[in-house]
Amino acid sequence: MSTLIAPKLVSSRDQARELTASLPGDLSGTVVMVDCSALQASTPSFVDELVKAVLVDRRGRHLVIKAAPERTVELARRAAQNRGVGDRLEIG
Amino acid sequence: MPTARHALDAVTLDDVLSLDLDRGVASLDLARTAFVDAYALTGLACFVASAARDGLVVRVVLPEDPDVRSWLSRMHLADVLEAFDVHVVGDLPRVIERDRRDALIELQRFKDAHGSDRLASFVWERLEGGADGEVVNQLFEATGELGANVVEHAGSPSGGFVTAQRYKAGTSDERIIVAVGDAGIGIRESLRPRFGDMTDDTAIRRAVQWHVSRVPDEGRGQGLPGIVDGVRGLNGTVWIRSGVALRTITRRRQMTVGVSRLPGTIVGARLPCRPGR
Repeated sequence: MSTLIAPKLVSSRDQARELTASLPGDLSGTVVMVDCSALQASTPSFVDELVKAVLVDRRGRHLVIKAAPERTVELARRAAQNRGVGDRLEIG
Repeated sequence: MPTARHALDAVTLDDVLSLDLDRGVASLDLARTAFVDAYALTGLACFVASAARDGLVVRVVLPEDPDVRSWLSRMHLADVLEAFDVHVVGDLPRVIERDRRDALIELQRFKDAHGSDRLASFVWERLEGGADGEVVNQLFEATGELGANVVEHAGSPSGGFVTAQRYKAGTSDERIIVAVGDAGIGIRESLRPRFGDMTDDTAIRRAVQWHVSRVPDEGRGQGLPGIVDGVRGLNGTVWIRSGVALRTITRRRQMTVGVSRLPGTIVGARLPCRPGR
Protein backbone atom coordinates (compact mmCIF):
# COMPACT_ATOMS: atom_id res chain seq x y z
CA MET A 1 0.00 0.00 0.00
CA SER A 2 1.17 3.51 -0.78
CA THR A 3 0.13 6.26 1.59
CA LEU A 4 -0.17 9.96 0.78
CA ILE A 5 -0.86 12.71 3.30
CA ALA A 6 -3.26 15.43 2.20
CA PRO A 7 -2.48 18.90 3.56
CA LYS A 8 -5.00 21.16 5.30
CA LEU A 9 -6.35 22.94 2.21
CA VAL A 10 -6.18 21.76 -1.40
CA SER A 11 -7.64 23.44 -4.45
CA SER A 12 -5.93 23.12 -7.84
CA ARG A 13 -5.33 20.17 -10.12
CA ASP A 14 -1.64 21.03 -9.90
CA GLN A 15 -1.75 20.29 -6.18
CA ALA A 16 -3.21 16.83 -6.87
CA ARG A 17 -0.50 16.17 -9.43
CA GLU A 18 2.16 17.28 -6.96
CA LEU A 19 0.68 15.07 -4.24
CA THR A 20 0.75 12.00 -6.50
CA ALA A 21 4.00 12.79 -8.30
CA SER A 22 6.01 10.35 -6.19
CA LEU A 23 3.80 7.38 -7.12
CA PRO A 24 5.02 4.90 -9.76
CA GLY A 25 3.55 5.18 -13.23
CA ASP A 26 1.87 1.77 -12.98
CA LEU A 27 -0.14 1.07 -9.83
CA SER A 28 -1.80 -2.14 -11.01
CA GLY A 29 -2.35 -4.29 -7.94
CA THR A 30 -1.49 -1.42 -5.58
CA VAL A 31 -3.81 0.22 -3.07
CA VAL A 32 -3.25 3.92 -2.53
CA MET A 33 -4.46 5.47 0.70
CA VAL A 34 -4.80 9.22 1.08
CA ASP A 35 -4.78 10.22 4.73
CA CYS A 36 -7.09 13.24 4.99
CA SER A 37 -6.90 13.62 8.78
CA ALA A 38 -5.54 17.16 8.45
CA LEU A 39 -7.69 18.12 5.49
CA GLN A 40 -10.27 20.81 6.08
CA ALA A 41 -11.41 21.76 2.58
CA SER A 42 -10.96 20.66 -1.02
CA THR A 43 -12.30 21.62 -4.43
CA PRO A 44 -14.00 19.40 -7.03
CA SER A 45 -11.02 19.91 -9.36
CA PHE A 46 -8.46 18.72 -6.83
CA VAL A 47 -10.47 15.63 -5.93
CA ASP A 48 -11.19 14.78 -9.57
CA GLU A 49 -7.51 15.06 -10.46
CA LEU A 50 -6.59 12.85 -7.51
CA VAL A 51 -9.02 10.15 -8.65
CA LYS A 52 -7.78 10.48 -12.23
CA ALA A 53 -4.08 10.32 -11.27
CA VAL A 54 -4.46 7.20 -9.12
CA LEU A 55 -7.28 5.16 -10.65
CA VAL A 56 -7.27 6.20 -14.31
CA ASP A 57 -3.78 7.31 -15.32
CA ARG A 58 -1.88 4.84 -13.09
CA ARG A 59 -4.59 2.16 -12.95
CA GLY A 60 -4.44 1.77 -9.15
CA ARG A 61 -6.27 -1.22 -7.68
CA HIS A 62 -8.06 0.87 -5.06
CA LEU A 63 -8.00 4.43 -3.81
CA VAL A 64 -8.80 4.71 -0.12
CA ILE A 65 -9.85 8.11 1.16
CA LYS A 66 -9.31 8.05 4.91
CA ALA A 67 -10.72 10.44 7.51
CA ALA A 68 -11.87 13.01 4.98
CA PRO A 69 -14.48 15.73 5.53
CA GLU A 70 -17.95 14.78 4.35
CA ARG A 71 -17.79 17.19 1.42
CA THR A 72 -14.52 15.69 0.17
CA VAL A 73 -16.05 12.20 0.34
CA GLU A 74 -19.01 13.45 -1.69
CA LEU A 75 -16.66 14.94 -4.29
CA ALA A 76 -14.58 11.75 -4.46
CA ARG A 77 -17.66 9.60 -5.03
CA ARG A 78 -18.84 11.95 -7.77
CA ALA A 79 -15.42 12.03 -9.47
CA ALA A 80 -15.05 8.26 -9.38
CA GLN A 81 -18.54 7.81 -10.79
CA ASN A 82 -17.90 10.34 -13.58
CA ARG A 83 -14.77 8.47 -14.55
CA GLY A 84 -16.33 5.02 -14.33
CA VAL A 85 -14.08 3.84 -11.48
CA GLY A 86 -16.55 4.00 -8.61
CA ASP A 87 -15.99 0.33 -7.76
CA ARG A 88 -12.34 1.05 -6.93
CA LEU A 89 -12.95 3.92 -4.52
CA GLU A 90 -13.11 3.15 -0.81
CA ILE A 91 -14.00 5.50 1.97
CA GLY A 92 -12.10 4.72 5.17
CA MET B 1 -21.54 59.52 -16.86
CA PRO B 2 -23.47 59.11 -13.62
CA THR B 3 -25.29 62.21 -12.44
CA ALA B 4 -26.43 61.11 -9.01
CA ARG B 5 -24.47 59.50 -6.23
CA HIS B 6 -24.89 55.82 -6.64
CA ALA B 7 -23.69 52.41 -5.61
CA LEU B 8 -21.48 50.40 -7.90
CA ASP B 9 -22.12 46.66 -8.11
CA ALA B 10 -22.39 43.88 -10.70
CA VAL B 11 -25.42 45.47 -12.34
CA THR B 12 -24.34 49.14 -12.26
CA LEU B 13 -20.65 48.66 -13.08
CA ASP B 14 -21.17 49.84 -16.66
CA ASP B 15 -22.28 53.27 -15.43
CA VAL B 16 -18.70 54.38 -14.80
CA LEU B 17 -16.87 52.71 -17.71
CA SER B 18 -16.37 54.31 -21.11
CA LEU B 19 -14.16 53.80 -24.12
CA ASP B 20 -13.18 56.42 -26.69
CA LEU B 21 -11.41 54.31 -29.28
CA ASP B 22 -10.87 57.27 -31.63
CA ARG B 23 -8.78 58.97 -28.97
CA GLY B 24 -7.45 55.72 -27.56
CA VAL B 25 -8.72 56.47 -24.08
CA ALA B 26 -10.46 54.23 -21.55
CA SER B 27 -12.14 56.15 -18.74
CA LEU B 28 -13.36 55.13 -15.37
CA ASP B 29 -15.38 57.90 -13.76
CA LEU B 30 -16.00 57.25 -10.09
CA ALA B 31 -16.66 60.90 -9.20
CA ARG B 32 -20.27 60.40 -8.08
CA THR B 33 -19.81 56.93 -6.68
CA ALA B 34 -21.05 56.48 -3.14
CA PHE B 35 -20.22 52.79 -2.70
CA VAL B 36 -18.25 50.10 -4.55
CA ASP B 37 -18.86 46.46 -3.74
CA ALA B 38 -16.33 43.63 -4.09
CA TYR B 39 -17.68 42.52 -7.47
CA ALA B 40 -17.46 46.03 -8.92
CA LEU B 41 -13.95 46.52 -7.57
CA THR B 42 -12.81 43.33 -9.27
CA GLY B 43 -14.55 44.55 -12.44
CA LEU B 44 -12.73 47.88 -12.30
CA ALA B 45 -9.40 46.05 -12.11
CA CYS B 46 -10.35 43.87 -15.10
CA PHE B 47 -11.38 46.96 -17.10
CA VAL B 48 -8.07 48.65 -16.35
CA ALA B 49 -6.05 45.53 -17.24
CA SER B 50 -7.98 45.01 -20.46
CA ALA B 51 -7.63 48.61 -21.60
CA ALA B 52 -3.93 48.72 -20.78
CA ARG B 53 -3.36 45.48 -22.71
CA ASP B 54 -5.11 47.01 -25.72
CA GLY B 55 -2.74 49.95 -25.60
CA LEU B 56 -5.33 52.47 -24.47
CA VAL B 57 -4.55 55.34 -22.16
CA VAL B 58 -6.46 54.61 -18.97
CA ARG B 59 -7.84 57.57 -17.06
CA VAL B 60 -9.48 57.24 -13.66
CA VAL B 61 -11.46 59.95 -11.89
CA LEU B 62 -11.58 59.11 -8.20
CA PRO B 63 -14.70 59.49 -6.05
CA GLU B 64 -15.53 62.92 -4.64
CA ASP B 65 -16.61 61.27 -1.40
CA PRO B 66 -13.54 61.01 0.86
CA ASP B 67 -14.94 57.92 2.59
CA VAL B 68 -15.18 56.08 -0.71
CA ARG B 69 -11.65 57.17 -1.66
CA SER B 70 -10.41 55.88 1.67
CA TRP B 71 -12.17 52.58 1.15
CA LEU B 72 -10.67 52.17 -2.33
CA SER B 73 -7.28 52.92 -0.86
CA ARG B 74 -7.87 50.36 1.91
CA MET B 75 -8.81 47.79 -0.74
CA HIS B 76 -5.47 48.40 -2.48
CA LEU B 77 -6.86 49.75 -5.75
CA ALA B 78 -3.74 51.91 -6.00
CA ASP B 79 -1.59 48.80 -6.55
CA VAL B 80 -3.54 47.95 -9.69
CA LEU B 81 -3.59 51.53 -10.95
CA GLU B 82 0.15 51.74 -10.49
CA ALA B 83 0.82 48.34 -12.08
CA PHE B 84 -0.98 49.38 -15.25
CA ASP B 85 0.37 52.93 -15.34
CA VAL B 86 -3.04 54.55 -15.03
CA HIS B 87 -3.52 58.33 -15.14
CA VAL B 88 -5.41 59.17 -11.97
CA VAL B 89 -7.37 62.38 -11.41
CA GLY B 90 -7.25 63.00 -7.67
CA ASP B 91 -5.39 61.23 -4.91
CA LEU B 92 -6.06 58.07 -2.99
CA PRO B 93 -5.32 58.86 0.64
CA ARG B 94 -2.97 56.83 2.75
CA VAL B 95 -5.07 54.96 5.28
CA ILE B 96 -4.15 53.21 8.48
CA GLU B 97 -4.92 49.56 7.92
CA ARG B 98 -6.44 48.42 11.15
CA ASP B 99 -6.93 44.69 11.26
CA ARG B 100 -10.07 43.69 9.40
CA ARG B 101 -8.87 40.26 8.38
CA ASP B 102 -12.25 38.71 9.10
CA ALA B 103 -14.12 41.30 7.06
CA LEU B 104 -12.31 41.80 3.79
CA ILE B 105 -9.80 40.53 1.30
CA GLU B 106 -8.20 43.40 -0.51
CA LEU B 107 -8.01 43.45 -4.30
CA GLN B 108 -5.30 40.98 -5.22
CA ARG B 109 -3.75 39.77 -8.42
CA PHE B 110 -2.66 36.22 -9.22
CA LYS B 111 -0.95 34.77 -12.26
CA ASP B 112 -0.57 31.02 -11.84
CA ALA B 113 -1.99 27.95 -10.10
CA HIS B 114 0.15 28.53 -7.03
CA GLY B 115 -1.22 32.05 -6.80
CA SER B 116 -4.75 30.71 -7.17
CA ASP B 117 -4.13 28.08 -4.48
CA ARG B 118 -2.75 30.70 -2.14
CA LEU B 119 -5.79 32.90 -2.62
CA ALA B 120 -8.25 30.07 -1.96
CA SER B 121 -6.35 29.26 1.24
CA PHE B 122 -6.26 32.96 2.08
CA VAL B 123 -10.05 33.13 1.74
CA TRP B 124 -10.39 30.17 4.08
CA GLU B 125 -7.99 31.51 6.68
CA ARG B 126 -9.54 34.97 6.67
CA LEU B 127 -13.18 33.97 6.70
CA GLU B 128 -13.06 30.86 8.90
CA GLY B 129 -15.15 31.57 11.95
CA GLY B 130 -16.70 34.64 10.36
CA ALA B 131 -19.53 32.68 8.77
CA ASP B 132 -21.13 29.24 8.90
CA GLY B 133 -18.76 26.45 7.94
CA GLU B 134 -20.66 25.54 4.79
CA VAL B 135 -20.47 29.17 3.63
CA VAL B 136 -16.72 29.38 4.18
CA ASN B 137 -16.32 26.03 2.44
CA GLN B 138 -18.37 27.23 -0.53
CA LEU B 139 -16.30 30.42 -0.78
CA PHE B 140 -13.10 28.37 -0.65
CA GLU B 141 -14.33 26.10 -3.43
CA ALA B 142 -15.51 29.05 -5.50
CA THR B 143 -12.23 30.93 -5.20
CA GLY B 144 -10.21 27.81 -5.97
CA GLU B 145 -12.29 26.80 -8.98
CA LEU B 146 -12.61 30.30 -10.41
CA GLY B 147 -8.91 30.97 -9.91
CA ALA B 148 -8.08 27.72 -11.68
CA ASN B 149 -10.39 28.69 -14.55
CA VAL B 150 -8.49 31.95 -14.97
CA VAL B 151 -5.14 30.18 -15.00
CA GLU B 152 -6.20 27.28 -17.24
CA HIS B 153 -8.77 28.74 -19.61
CA ALA B 154 -8.83 32.54 -19.63
CA GLY B 155 -5.74 33.30 -21.68
CA SER B 156 -5.23 36.43 -19.62
CA PRO B 157 -1.64 37.73 -19.70
CA SER B 158 -2.36 39.99 -16.75
CA GLY B 159 -3.61 37.03 -14.69
CA GLY B 160 -6.67 37.39 -12.53
CA PHE B 161 -8.03 39.51 -9.72
CA VAL B 162 -9.93 38.62 -6.59
CA THR B 163 -11.71 40.67 -3.94
CA ALA B 164 -13.96 39.73 -1.04
CA GLN B 165 -15.81 41.61 1.62
CA ARG B 166 -18.23 40.91 4.43
CA TYR B 167 -21.13 43.35 4.77
CA LYS B 168 -23.62 44.25 7.47
CA ALA B 169 -21.63 42.47 10.14
CA GLY B 170 -23.60 41.59 13.23
CA THR B 171 -26.99 41.89 11.54
CA SER B 172 -29.34 39.19 10.34
CA ASP B 173 -28.54 40.34 6.79
CA GLU B 174 -24.79 39.74 7.16
CA ARG B 175 -23.33 38.56 3.85
CA ILE B 176 -20.09 38.01 1.97
CA ILE B 177 -19.31 38.84 -1.64
CA VAL B 178 -16.33 37.27 -3.35
CA ALA B 179 -15.44 37.98 -6.98
CA VAL B 180 -12.80 36.63 -9.34
CA GLY B 181 -12.16 38.22 -12.73
CA ASP B 182 -9.76 38.37 -15.63
CA ALA B 183 -9.15 40.28 -18.85
CA GLY B 184 -8.80 37.18 -20.99
CA ILE B 185 -10.67 35.69 -23.94
CA GLY B 186 -14.04 35.21 -22.23
CA ILE B 187 -16.27 32.15 -21.94
CA ARG B 188 -17.54 32.26 -25.54
CA GLU B 189 -14.06 32.15 -27.05
CA SER B 190 -12.95 29.51 -24.56
CA LEU B 191 -15.79 27.17 -25.56
CA ARG B 192 -15.81 27.98 -29.30
CA PRO B 193 -13.16 25.48 -30.50
CA ARG B 194 -15.17 22.61 -29.03
CA PHE B 195 -18.76 23.85 -29.19
CA GLY B 196 -18.78 26.29 -32.13
CA ASP B 197 -20.02 29.86 -32.44
CA MET B 198 -22.57 31.10 -29.96
CA THR B 199 -23.60 34.29 -28.21
CA ASP B 200 -22.07 35.33 -24.91
CA ASP B 201 -25.38 34.61 -23.18
CA THR B 202 -25.52 31.10 -24.65
CA ALA B 203 -21.89 30.52 -23.69
CA ILE B 204 -22.58 31.45 -20.07
CA ARG B 205 -25.69 29.24 -20.01
CA ARG B 206 -23.63 26.33 -21.33
CA ALA B 207 -20.73 26.94 -18.98
CA VAL B 208 -22.98 26.50 -15.93
CA GLN B 209 -24.10 23.09 -17.14
CA TRP B 210 -22.32 20.02 -15.77
CA HIS B 211 -19.49 18.57 -17.84
CA VAL B 212 -19.26 21.47 -20.28
CA SER B 213 -15.60 22.41 -20.68
CA ARG B 214 -13.23 23.35 -23.45
CA VAL B 215 -11.16 20.35 -22.31
CA PRO B 216 -12.60 17.04 -23.60
CA ASP B 217 -12.23 15.08 -20.38
CA GLU B 218 -15.05 13.39 -18.49
CA GLY B 219 -13.99 14.89 -15.17
CA ARG B 220 -14.00 18.47 -16.40
CA GLY B 221 -16.77 21.03 -16.34
CA GLN B 222 -17.60 20.81 -12.65
CA GLY B 223 -16.27 24.09 -11.35
CA LEU B 224 -18.81 26.67 -12.44
CA PRO B 225 -21.92 24.46 -12.17
CA GLY B 226 -20.75 23.35 -8.74
CA ILE B 227 -20.44 26.96 -7.64
CA VAL B 228 -23.89 27.82 -9.00
CA ASP B 229 -25.50 24.81 -7.31
CA GLY B 230 -23.71 25.45 -4.03
CA VAL B 231 -24.45 29.16 -3.88
CA ARG B 232 -28.10 28.69 -4.86
CA GLY B 233 -28.41 25.99 -2.22
CA LEU B 234 -27.27 28.49 0.39
CA ASN B 235 -29.75 31.06 -0.89
CA GLY B 236 -27.05 33.20 -2.46
CA THR B 237 -26.56 34.95 -5.78
CA VAL B 238 -24.09 34.33 -8.61
CA TRP B 239 -23.18 36.93 -11.23
CA ILE B 240 -21.34 35.89 -14.39
CA ARG B 241 -20.26 38.61 -16.78
CA SER B 242 -18.47 37.72 -20.01
CA GLY B 243 -18.39 39.57 -23.31
CA VAL B 244 -21.62 41.54 -23.61
CA ALA B 245 -23.72 39.47 -21.20
CA LEU B 246 -24.30 39.57 -17.47
CA ARG B 247 -26.22 36.63 -16.04
CA THR B 248 -27.64 36.75 -12.53
CA ILE B 249 -28.56 33.46 -10.90
CA THR B 250 -30.44 32.99 -7.64
CA ARG B 251 -32.42 30.13 -6.16
CA ARG B 252 -35.62 31.48 -7.67
CA ARG B 253 -34.59 33.06 -10.96
CA GLN B 254 -31.98 33.36 -13.68
CA MET B 255 -31.78 36.31 -16.03
CA THR B 256 -29.35 37.82 -18.51
CA VAL B 257 -28.97 41.50 -19.35
CA GLY B 258 -26.85 43.09 -22.04
CA VAL B 259 -23.79 45.03 -20.92
CA SER B 260 -20.96 46.84 -22.64
CA ARG B 261 -18.25 44.56 -23.99
CA LEU B 262 -15.68 43.77 -21.36
CA PRO B 263 -13.09 41.23 -22.47
CA GLY B 264 -12.66 38.36 -20.08
CA THR B 265 -14.92 37.04 -17.38
CA ILE B 266 -15.96 38.23 -13.94
CA VAL B 267 -17.73 35.79 -11.64
CA GLY B 268 -19.00 36.81 -8.24
CA ALA B 269 -20.97 35.15 -5.47
CA ARG B 270 -22.93 36.72 -2.66
CA LEU B 271 -23.72 34.46 0.27
CA PRO B 272 -25.52 35.02 3.53
CA CYS B 273 -23.07 34.38 6.36
CA ARG B 274 -25.56 32.31 8.31
CA PRO B 275 -28.11 30.92 5.86
CA GLY B 276 -29.69 28.50 8.31
CA ARG B 277 -30.71 31.13 10.84
